[in-house]
Amino acid sequence: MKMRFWGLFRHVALSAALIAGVLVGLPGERAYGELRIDISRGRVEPLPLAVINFAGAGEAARYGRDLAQVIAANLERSGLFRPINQAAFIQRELPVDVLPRFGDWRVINAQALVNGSVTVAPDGRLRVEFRLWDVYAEAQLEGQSVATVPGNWRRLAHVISDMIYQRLTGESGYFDTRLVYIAETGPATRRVKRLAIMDQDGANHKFLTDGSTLVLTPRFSPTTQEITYLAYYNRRPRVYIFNIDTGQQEVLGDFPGMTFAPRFSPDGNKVIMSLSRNGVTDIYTMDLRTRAVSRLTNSPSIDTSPTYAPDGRQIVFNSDRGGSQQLYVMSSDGDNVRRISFGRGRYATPVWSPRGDLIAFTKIVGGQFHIGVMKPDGSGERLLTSGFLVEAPTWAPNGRVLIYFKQIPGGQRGGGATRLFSIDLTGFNEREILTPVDASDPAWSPLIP
Amino acid sequence: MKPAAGDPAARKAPKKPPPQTAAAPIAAPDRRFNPNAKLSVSELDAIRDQIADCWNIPAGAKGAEDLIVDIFVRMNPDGTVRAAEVTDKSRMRVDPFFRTAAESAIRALRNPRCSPLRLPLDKYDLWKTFTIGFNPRDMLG
Repeated sequence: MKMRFWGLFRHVALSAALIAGVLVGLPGERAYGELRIDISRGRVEPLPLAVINFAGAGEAARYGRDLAQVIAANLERSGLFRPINQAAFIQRELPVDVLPRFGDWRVINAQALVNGSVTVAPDGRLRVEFRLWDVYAEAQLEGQSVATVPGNWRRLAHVISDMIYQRLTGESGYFDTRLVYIAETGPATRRVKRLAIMDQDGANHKFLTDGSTLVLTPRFSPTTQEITYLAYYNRRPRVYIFNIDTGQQEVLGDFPGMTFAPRFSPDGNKVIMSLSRNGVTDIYTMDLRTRAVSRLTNSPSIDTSPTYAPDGRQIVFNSDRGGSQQLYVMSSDGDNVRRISFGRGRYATPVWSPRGDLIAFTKIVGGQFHIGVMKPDGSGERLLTSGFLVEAPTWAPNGRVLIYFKQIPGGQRGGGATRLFSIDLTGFNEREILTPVDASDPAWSPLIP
Repeated sequence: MKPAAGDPAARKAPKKPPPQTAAAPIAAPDRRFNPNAKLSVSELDAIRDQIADCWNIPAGAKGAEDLIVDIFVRMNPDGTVRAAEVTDKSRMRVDPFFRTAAESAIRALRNPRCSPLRLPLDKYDLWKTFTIGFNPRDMLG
């Protein structure tokens, strides 16, 4: 027994020596490779990519063109990709079973290439195969087949866009998502505010409420197709939950004071909000299954705008307990409160990034509004955009892009248009999100399941 | 001041290649090989500038400033890249952000603007293989 053990040991030791020998022997060629060059500069510019109309016969050809167009538009809007004008293509058609002529794509400076084929199955469903190529490496990076009913073709384009984005950036995409926002119409004195929803690219727009009550601060559930928001009832704001699929809404509870800023917990089981009673505003949670309410803060100050970290263990909120409105972080049970913002000015509407690494906020300093981000410990504050009024950032589900609203100062009558804008986390690529009417208080959905 | 004989500095100075002995069969001397040659600072700057122009850095990725990629490169004598491989292959398999950063680094080396690399062709032995580190920290930190 002992011998066998020793034998085994010797075998292992010998193997280890062999491996070590191989490792020592390996750099033979690399001995010359002592030259090392470090590159610490580069370009920050969109990756040039070609999206060819997906091949297909008859009706399928039309879907092929539309799919390519929506995919290219999604990737272009992200600011990370620059779709090349199709007029420049040398290889005009490329069904999925044909190998690209990479030289033709290098000539027009395409670094990535997307092609596909569409067929309409006998049952009427669309079947789409697509491929993503690295032109320089002459290698396929991604190849998938997806199918859906024809009415759903836009979602198919978004799902494919997400796969391309994910393969090329390492992060999950955000194209198969929706936005809710407050649609505003009418004069400043009699503003009608309706809850509205649309795809992230503005398609499929619809109003969810009729405007008879004032609605505010819609927020998506992270797990279901539900929205929580505030609506005024008898001149008091109450927290509601709206089911997008059924169109049903229910009031979350009748509280003795006024409720504000409701938001779901990451598991979707709780709503966190602030509740104002006798001049004091504290943070509470309500368990959606038991309807049990717990109080998390207990201070004579105004504590509001709570948001959970994506792991549910911490909460960021704003409070004027230190004299001015600043950001604070606490454990999910309300303990261990610490201030994280120390810059000049006031901080509001903190939102924890879905990837956990940053907190976005609105900052008001010197009469200007700014949207910025900081790390959860308060370090690394960066302002991304500024304006007369920019407010209420909401994160894309991949934590890479923010949408917020901006008021453009109006003419003599005051007011002015309010519009939605998106900006990349690096502060580049600010774009307007087109809405049919004025828009405020946007909220970005998670990826649609 | 002239260094005295025996001065260590003087002993160090004449470090020429060992003279070829008559026994060695010499055809044409290999002009590409000079063991004392080094790439000059301006030669290194030129290649850094050229590659920086081809490298699209992966900005905005989570922890992008820590995505430092080393690529081991084998070169052809004409300054084109024969092979480029990421040294940390295991991280490439498990970390999609690193894979993206590594692919962007390799794309830089395959970019037509970087082919051939502007290297002094007479010093091929110095750059026949080398390691190139892509470090976005200064641009993103």
